[in-house]
Amino acid sequence: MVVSSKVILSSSDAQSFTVEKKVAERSILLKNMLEDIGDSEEPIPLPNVSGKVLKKVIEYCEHHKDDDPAPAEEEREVFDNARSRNDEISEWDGTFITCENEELFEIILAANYLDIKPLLDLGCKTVANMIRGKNAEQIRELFNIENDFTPEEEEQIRRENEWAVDA
Amino acid sequence: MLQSSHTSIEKFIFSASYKLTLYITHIPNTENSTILKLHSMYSKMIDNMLMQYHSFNSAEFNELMKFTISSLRSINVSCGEILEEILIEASSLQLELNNIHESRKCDFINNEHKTFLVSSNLISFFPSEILLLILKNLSKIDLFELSLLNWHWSFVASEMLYKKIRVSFEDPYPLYKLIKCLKFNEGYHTYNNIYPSKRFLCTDLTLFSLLKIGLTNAHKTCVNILIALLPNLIAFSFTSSLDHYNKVGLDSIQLNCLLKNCKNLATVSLDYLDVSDERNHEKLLYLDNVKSLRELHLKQFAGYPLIIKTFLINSSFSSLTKLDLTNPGSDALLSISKTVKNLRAFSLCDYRGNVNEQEVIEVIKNSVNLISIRLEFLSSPRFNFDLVLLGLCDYNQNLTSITLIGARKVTSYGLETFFYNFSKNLKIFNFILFGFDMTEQIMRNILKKFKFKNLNSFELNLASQKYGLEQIKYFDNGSSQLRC
Repeated sequence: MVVSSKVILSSSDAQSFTVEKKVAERSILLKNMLEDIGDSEEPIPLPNVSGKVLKKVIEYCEHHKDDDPAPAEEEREVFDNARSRNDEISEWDGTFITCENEELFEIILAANYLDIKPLLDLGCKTVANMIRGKNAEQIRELFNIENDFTPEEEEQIRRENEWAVDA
Repeated sequence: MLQSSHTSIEKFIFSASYKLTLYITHIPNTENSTILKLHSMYSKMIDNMLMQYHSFNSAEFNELMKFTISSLRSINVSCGEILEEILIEASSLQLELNNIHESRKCDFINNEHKTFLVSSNLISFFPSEILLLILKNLSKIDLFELSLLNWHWSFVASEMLYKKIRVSFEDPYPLYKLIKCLKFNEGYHTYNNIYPSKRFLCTDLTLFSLLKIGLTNAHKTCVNILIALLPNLIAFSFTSSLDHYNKVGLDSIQLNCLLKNCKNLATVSLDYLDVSDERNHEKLLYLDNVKSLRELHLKQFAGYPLIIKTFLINSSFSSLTKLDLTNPGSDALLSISKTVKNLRAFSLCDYRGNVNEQEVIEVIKNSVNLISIRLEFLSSPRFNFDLVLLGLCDYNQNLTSITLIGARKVTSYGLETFFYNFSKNLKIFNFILFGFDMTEQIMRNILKKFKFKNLNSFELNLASQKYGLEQIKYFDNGSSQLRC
């Protein structure tokens, strides 16, 4: 629904959120959709995003609403290249993304679905930071990953990949 | 678009596109504009999917489904099983999607994700492009630690590690591009020394449309995943070097899965079947459910002839045109001979001396279209090659190629009778004879009696027991009349 510059978003659990069009357009998916449907009275359903996660996503988009617009498809690869070399996370983003694993993963999925590249990137970097510097046992514990290697297999993999680490 | 249905949709699109290609390729004079339009729409959809990392345009997809169903119904699907299959799959998929929409099971998707979260297995939880984004933020040492987590992670992290070392990481999607490259190349892909930890992001479905693959020393886990991911294969080959026998292998259950999953498989080439786990023996080998098999190459150097025999005896080879066996074991060949009717090429190596000439003759007798035969080192001293040559004369009129290596008991009568029947059409003649009790002069005199008008490959090695291992190549000795 577009009332002046407002848009209503409806989450998978039927919660509605009224946001500025400018905020919604941080999502490429919504931006394209709004261009396609024009002015409409209907709320935009987002069946893949729960209310709790959508609220967080909107919070992010509102904070970043004045950032440069998301790049066009053809510029994205260049953009991604540049972004991948920048490991820094701003203070606000760092505080925003600090949450339970489950919520973090759902935010990443929502960012992917809604096509909000900076948020997706933030989430992926955060997961990477959680992994960084930990040994295999610590990572297993962090993500509750079951070890299905026998000691011999683990040793074999270790030997196989050591060349890459030493290089 | 419904995230959780992506897998079904992807599968459907690739499968439908492939089947339409098959239909257009294999049905002569396909001029139906609806089919061609449909094919073009599916191709476009696949291109879009690849360009946008599997993101679907739901409106476009719904339009495609509607058009598929209406057009195939209007065409009258009895015109082809392939089209009928697509129609059934499309109807079924649309029903599935409608059900999800209508009952507003949006929570289903979230609940499904939450189930994954219980195990917090990121690989199962995230699509591969997200996993890639996470991993590309990690250093080599972090990737090394990830590769030690479990088998799944080992695949993904080691692949990333490998690419990180080998490829400049300026490119954000090297792995994606690798997979994309595999996808569009229809040639054979051969991978050496594949372990689960190397080369593949096997959790991705993007290998779905690969048609041919050759594996060398592939680890079982890798083979398992590949088999599950490659239902469109038309050719599969697996080889293993001797020093890897304890580490790798394609076992009988995997082979069975391969044959069941890949309905269009036409060529299977195995040089080692791991049957070391005898518990697998009872569950295996129903080759008769592969109606499309045209070529079978099966070698077994390292033992276990029993399992090969079971494999061959339990299978139906009615569609086979090319059969290449090494050490099939006694009686297996006799069983095969009853089901092969359309063989055009037959090759047999027997290092164990289990095959007798009567079994070979039975294959020849049942394969009236045979044009090529190759028999190598049939080491039983009782095996009589003369009888095989005479069997060819009795039951075959089309042979153009013959290779006998290590042949015993060939007589001048057998050879002359063979040439009398086949010399005119023979294109390839390669004999390496053992125990051939004739001098070079006698052999030369036999050859001079015949005209070989179509011969383009000739080799004759005489390794006579009487004269030692003297080898004579007739082309080198001026028998130029053989070239005519």
